[in-house]
Amino acid sequence: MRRRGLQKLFHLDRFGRRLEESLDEEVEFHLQTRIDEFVASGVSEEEARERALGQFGDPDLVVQRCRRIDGRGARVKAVREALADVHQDVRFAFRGLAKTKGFSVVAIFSLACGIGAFVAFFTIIHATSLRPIPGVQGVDRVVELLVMGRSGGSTYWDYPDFHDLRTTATPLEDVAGWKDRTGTLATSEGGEQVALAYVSANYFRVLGVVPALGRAFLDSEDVSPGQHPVAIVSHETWQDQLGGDPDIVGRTVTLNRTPYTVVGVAPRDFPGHMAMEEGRDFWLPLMQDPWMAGEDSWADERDVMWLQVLGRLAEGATTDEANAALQTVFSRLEEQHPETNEGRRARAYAFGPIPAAFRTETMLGIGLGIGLMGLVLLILCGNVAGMVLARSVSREQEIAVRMALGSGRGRLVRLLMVEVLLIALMGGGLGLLFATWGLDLASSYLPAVPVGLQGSGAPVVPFALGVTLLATLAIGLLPSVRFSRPELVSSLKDNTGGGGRRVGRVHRVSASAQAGLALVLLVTSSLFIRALGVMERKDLGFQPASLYTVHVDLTQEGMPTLDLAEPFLQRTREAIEALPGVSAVSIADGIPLDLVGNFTAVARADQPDPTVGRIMVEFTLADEGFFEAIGTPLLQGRGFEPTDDASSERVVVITESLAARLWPGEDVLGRRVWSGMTGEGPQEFTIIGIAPDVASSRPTEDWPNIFASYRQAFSPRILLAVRGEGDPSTISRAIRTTLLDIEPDLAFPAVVSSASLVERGTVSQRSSARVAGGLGILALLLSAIGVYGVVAFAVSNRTREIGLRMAMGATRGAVLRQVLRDGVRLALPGLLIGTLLAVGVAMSFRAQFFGLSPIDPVSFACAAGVLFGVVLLASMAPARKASGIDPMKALKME
Amino acid sequence: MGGVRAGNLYGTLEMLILKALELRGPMHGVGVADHIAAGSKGLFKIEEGSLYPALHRLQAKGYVAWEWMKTEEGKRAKYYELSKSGKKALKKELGSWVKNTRAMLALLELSAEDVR
Repeated sequence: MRRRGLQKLFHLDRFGRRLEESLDEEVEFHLQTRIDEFVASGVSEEEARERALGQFGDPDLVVQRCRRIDGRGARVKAVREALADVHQDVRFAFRGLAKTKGFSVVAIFSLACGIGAFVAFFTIIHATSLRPIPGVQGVDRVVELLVMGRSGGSTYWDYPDFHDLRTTATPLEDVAGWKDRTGTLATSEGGEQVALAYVSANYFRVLGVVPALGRAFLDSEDVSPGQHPVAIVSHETWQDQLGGDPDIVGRTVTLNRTPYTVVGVAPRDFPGHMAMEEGRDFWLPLMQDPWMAGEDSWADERDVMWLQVLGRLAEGATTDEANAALQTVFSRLEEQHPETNEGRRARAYAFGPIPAAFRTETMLGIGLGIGLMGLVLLILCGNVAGMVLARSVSREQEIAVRMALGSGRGRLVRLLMVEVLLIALMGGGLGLLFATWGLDLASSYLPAVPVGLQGSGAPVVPFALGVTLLATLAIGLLPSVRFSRPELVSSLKDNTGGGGRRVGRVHRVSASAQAGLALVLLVTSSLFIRALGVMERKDLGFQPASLYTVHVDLTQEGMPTLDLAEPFLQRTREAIEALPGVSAVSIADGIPLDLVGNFTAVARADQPDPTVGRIMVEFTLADEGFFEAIGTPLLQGRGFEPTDDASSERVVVITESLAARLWPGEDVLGRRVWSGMTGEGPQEFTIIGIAPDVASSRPTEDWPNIFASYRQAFSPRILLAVRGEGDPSTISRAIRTTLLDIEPDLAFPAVVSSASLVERGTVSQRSSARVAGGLGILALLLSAIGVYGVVAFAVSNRTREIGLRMAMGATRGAVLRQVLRDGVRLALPGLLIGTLLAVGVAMSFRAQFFGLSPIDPVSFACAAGVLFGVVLLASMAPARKASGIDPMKALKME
Repeated sequence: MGGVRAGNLYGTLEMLILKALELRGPMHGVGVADHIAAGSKGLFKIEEGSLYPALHRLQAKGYVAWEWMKTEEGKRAKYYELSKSGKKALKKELGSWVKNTRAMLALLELSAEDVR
């Protein structure tokens, strides 16, 4: 009794004014009591007051301190009460969720899928495209320099232009060039293929990368060709291949049969400056590149475009200033070397994880991916919202009781939001787990994907939390609005099922919309997958299966010229042709998709100026077996013959599209073109054959190709291409043994199957198709859940009605048909609108789906058919349940 | 550092107040002051005003409940009463206070001998 009275007063004291009065009163009472005591003992009124105050201290100070303490106490109490409220809400919500386990499990699981996918996607994007490149210092001053030919396409640099730029004073403090090549590292087991990067000595300085051990290259090590065999090894290669030897600096490794002294180890977090590619194993001075030495060195070749270039802006300089300077430099070069440099320009781009050459496309792709992800998540939230709504209607009684007991609408909405938040949080937590699994899976085939979430360095948890909270809002919005409408109460009062119909309308529209969105996603992803199929089947222009390649650097075998090499090449060709299963052998310097790539310019030779109408092309040196070996039958004319040598007319085979660009609509056989492939300036070549278009050296690029006879334009870096049927490892071993039989000193011939090169080359397309496909399937699943939710909800809402019908003589079949018809009618408008949307989406991605009409009837029909089937299937379960309703039970209900 | 609060006068004062309320039942501030003064035989002299912040602190912690009631003389006064959690806190504080004080005494005795 007493306690309740105390509590009541306490509440009153939450009003500040009342509190202060009582404080004054309390102190006043104390002083007055003392004064009265002193007066009673015979002291004067005045002295009594003085003594009382003396005993008490400063009353103002006491009141002040008490007020502060009371204020603090009130705040603590308010927080404690709020926490108790939250605690109660959470308990209620848990109890509610436990009561409807099926709902909770489906909701949590579908949210986990959506959030998990989103988080995994974000982590991958972050690791490959958003995260600053590790190890690079002062990245905002680093720029990527691209050369553009007159035709506009961005290409590699030639060495002289690079050298001229380097030696000119510009706002670029330093300019570094680099070239990727593969090489062979001598190991105890023979040899191992490694990724080499030939870089100018200032490369590490430009990137601001400081070696973890030893030093970077010295400028003096990059002056004369082949004179300084020094290497910097990557941290990973040092650890794995070289056993992590702490005294590695100063030791010698054998690369391409040449002993190199290791002068440094790159820092652990710098695998190379290309964030999206696998790391490099060794960096060597650019002057060690085989093409920098020899008679036909590329060092003074303005027509061979092969280098990539990075620059570092001087302190305070801007990219615009650099571009202005590049304009000046290249104008001057154009004047000095009109025959090669006409129309050639260079531009500086901010350096980032995505190479500038395809930044726009990549960002577009990322945007598309995020859009798709967001769409999936939105569908999903709509589904869960629908389920929450359906559930709240089926809990009408409980809600009505609560309202009757005085729960305000605000309180109900809060309870609902807490339930949704709990579902979302559990879904988010599970989603993080899913994301971890997904990433482990993804990292096994995407090199740049970090293993696990922790290693990614991405703000994963805040991101997941943000997504979860947004999902909570998205899910809770609709049901909250419905709860706060007064009609609900009245609909609760009359429990004839009339209220269910109205709830159903919103729900039906959302389910229909979901079916439509799922259709859009399905069509898009099926287009992606078909495009990939087209690319894999048709667009390569050669047959990568059963094709094996071996790189041999003849310079390092002591055969730098054609005369010296020819006997070896002839013997090799004959010996390998004799191997069982081998159907064709070719000596060339490259095949499509080998990631090397040499470029030159060609122009029509029926006019005197080789610089007029030049087209940048990728060129390959080949022999008589080449087109058979790579599996590309010529369309017109002939291939090369052994007689196409230095003594005869220079000949080329060109691809279809190049022919069409040079002489549109005309017969080109026998016509002549200018080209600088031989390294002796522009020369005339006669076209003897037309090949179909073949893939470029890199899958993301699309160049016209030109082929010349290696006997007329020799390169000592050769590629042996062998077509052979049978067990790959048997063939690889046979090729290797044969080569070593002929030339025992050969630098560890590494036999690489071309199919694996293709695999490596198309990894990104493959994974984006896989992601799109996965999303499509997820969308399908979710829309099935959505349709199921609506139909099941409608059936349970109409139990009485259906029971009545059956009591009146409706057959089970009739009920089944009616429910199924309802399901289809529900999805139809969404499917129609979705089809229109999908056409729009497909049109806008016309460029992505090359070789495929964007309005691809097969894709559309498949997607629509699948979705229709899913709608039917989703309606099936509730329909069967409806047809099994016992009329007596249904009518007795409530 | 456990609860060595021998030098903490606040803590001691709060403990004394709780103890007073336990012994004497509901009291107003003046009653508490009188009880402490009488109990310590006048040795424990405090400014009476400093009792109030201590009382309000105990009130914020929920160790005491309170109510405005009429005194025997018919005046309105704020009465404090030991709450259940206050009783528990007192028991705990008292235990550790006794322990600490014993420890302090032992230490002080030892050092006193050293001086001698």
